Amino acid sequence: MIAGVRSAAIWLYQISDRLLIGLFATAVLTSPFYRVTVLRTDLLGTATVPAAAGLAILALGVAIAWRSLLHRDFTWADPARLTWADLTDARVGTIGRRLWAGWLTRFVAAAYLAVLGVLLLGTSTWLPASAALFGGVAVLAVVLARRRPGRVETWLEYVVLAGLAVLAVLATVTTVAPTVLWVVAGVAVLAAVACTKGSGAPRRPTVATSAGRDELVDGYLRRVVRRVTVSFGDALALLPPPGPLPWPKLLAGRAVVARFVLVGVLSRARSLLPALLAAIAVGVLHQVLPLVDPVWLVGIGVYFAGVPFAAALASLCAVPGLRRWLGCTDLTLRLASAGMVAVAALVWVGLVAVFAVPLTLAAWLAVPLAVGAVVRTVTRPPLDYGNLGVAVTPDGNMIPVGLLLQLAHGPELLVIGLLVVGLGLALATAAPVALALAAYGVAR
Amino acid sequence: MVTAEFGVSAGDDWLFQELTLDLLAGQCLALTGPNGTGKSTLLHCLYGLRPPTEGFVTVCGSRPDERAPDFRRSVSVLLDDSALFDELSPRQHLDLLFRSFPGATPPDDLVAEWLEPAGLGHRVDVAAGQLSAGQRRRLLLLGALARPHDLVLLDEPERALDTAGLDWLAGLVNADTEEGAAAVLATHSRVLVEACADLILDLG
Repeated sequence: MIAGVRSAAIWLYQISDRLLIGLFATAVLTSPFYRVTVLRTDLLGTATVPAAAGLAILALGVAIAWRSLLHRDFTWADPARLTWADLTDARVGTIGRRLWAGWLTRFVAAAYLAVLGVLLLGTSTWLPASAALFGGVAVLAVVLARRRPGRVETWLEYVVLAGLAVLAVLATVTTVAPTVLWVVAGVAVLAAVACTKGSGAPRRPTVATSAGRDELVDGYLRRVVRRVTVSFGDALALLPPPGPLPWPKLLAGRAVVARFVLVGVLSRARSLLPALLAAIAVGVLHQVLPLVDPVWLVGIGVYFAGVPFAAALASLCAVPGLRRWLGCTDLTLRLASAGMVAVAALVWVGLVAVFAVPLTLAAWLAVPLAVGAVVRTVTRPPLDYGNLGVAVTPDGNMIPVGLLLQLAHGPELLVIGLLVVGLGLALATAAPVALALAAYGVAR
Repeated sequence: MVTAEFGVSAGDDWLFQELTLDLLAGQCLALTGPNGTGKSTLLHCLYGLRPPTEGFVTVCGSRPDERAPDFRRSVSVLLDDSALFDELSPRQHLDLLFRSFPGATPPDDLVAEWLEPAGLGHRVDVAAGQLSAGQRRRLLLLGALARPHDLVLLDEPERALDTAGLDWLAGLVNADTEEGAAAVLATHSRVLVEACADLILDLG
């Protein structure tokens, strides 16, 4: 009896942290459902939102879940295990279980977002058709994830992603007939059925049975980077790795620094897709959350879309051995990168304007601010994990103030600038401050 | 080119103490000795990555500071942290080098003058990420030696090189010193020491 109580106590002690976090997360996630009216007033006020705004949120959530699952980050194995304990066929089952867990987690999150969107924005008449669309895409996602990624799979991934993005935009600007959703859902299910052949036995997905050691170890290394990134909040580690380009003489000419920065963008062309998704997300968010000042949407959007365009500069700052290949000054590099990010930002803002986001003068000021913040972020000194600067709050919690300050290097400039610009100050006051902050971000 | 009288400690022990260096333009100094005797540390001191525990170090007339662009332009290095852009080819690396360093003149025929002698003539347009360890090492050595400099610091440059590669490297270092640059090599290669060194400092 005593032993049983003792075991229970130990078990409770061991799970207490997770239990507490779980309870806290549950409370946070369920609280909006008890405060729908208050939240609706806070977010929408008296403004009217498009009739299918909830559908836009659903399409956006499903698009993000789709994109995230099809990174296939479930395909990994610990090299130590592969070296010392890989004498059975267990890794196939393990990867298969990870695949299902990843799929479930992502689409449950998308469903949560969709339900919240419907509750707050109200599109109940679309509910059955929306649910069918959600189900169809979710089934296609898991079938596709089980297959070995190839050219057909890649095309299908992009087609579905583009379709969902278009649907999200259409839902904010016009009426989408439920029939369209039923048709899209039907096509998705048919595609899933067609793709089932080649996806492997139920517990032995092809993606797991065909994965070799190199692929599994690569996946493991990417996972380690992700975990470190999540643990310490260093998003720069997630910048996309570059790929080779088919133009051998791209650097053989004048203005080699500008060419180098351009190569950095072209060799990471995959990062254009998240930038596009960010533009669509901002367009949708403006429509469904009309009370949010476009200054914030544009500023934050340009920042997130722009960071990958400064990846070349980021790699030079992160690896001193790479910096030695360029004999130019740091300022030249910063200016060239800022120019590249600015060009990308202008294209991005043009795209956002298509989605009817009002581009006020204040919103335009957010663009140089975000460019400055991007350059400041990617030129941040490497994180010093020996300087966590842990401070204890009065209620006993420990906060790594030093680490947070290091991580704020870059974003802080954006937040301060957007506060100044978004306060509604006279343009004659706000503009010089914003431009000075932007110049500071680029030059320092 | 290098004037120094210094010592460096690691914890409670001294790696070396009261060490005097006086290296002139056109001379090559080889640092030899077993692992852990301070060869790389000495190179780090000359590049300003680590201050000496005692004494002073002067390189190209000033205190070494790799954060200063002028110093980086005068002193070229191959250290453990030297790296390649995996997505760029050997040709693109050298384009970057010759077109971004002040005073560097892009050669008429980059391949014939630099890449073919380095044994990279058939891999000119292959991404560096796909080169072998020896080919990557040769490209890194070109990165240190092909651009204008007054002093070059090479940490175990012989690593991953075959016999032909060692001969090529020795020729490159000798050509460099004949043109007036000074060189400091931390090396375990007797071949390299015999072929290049004017001065030898054994830290063992």
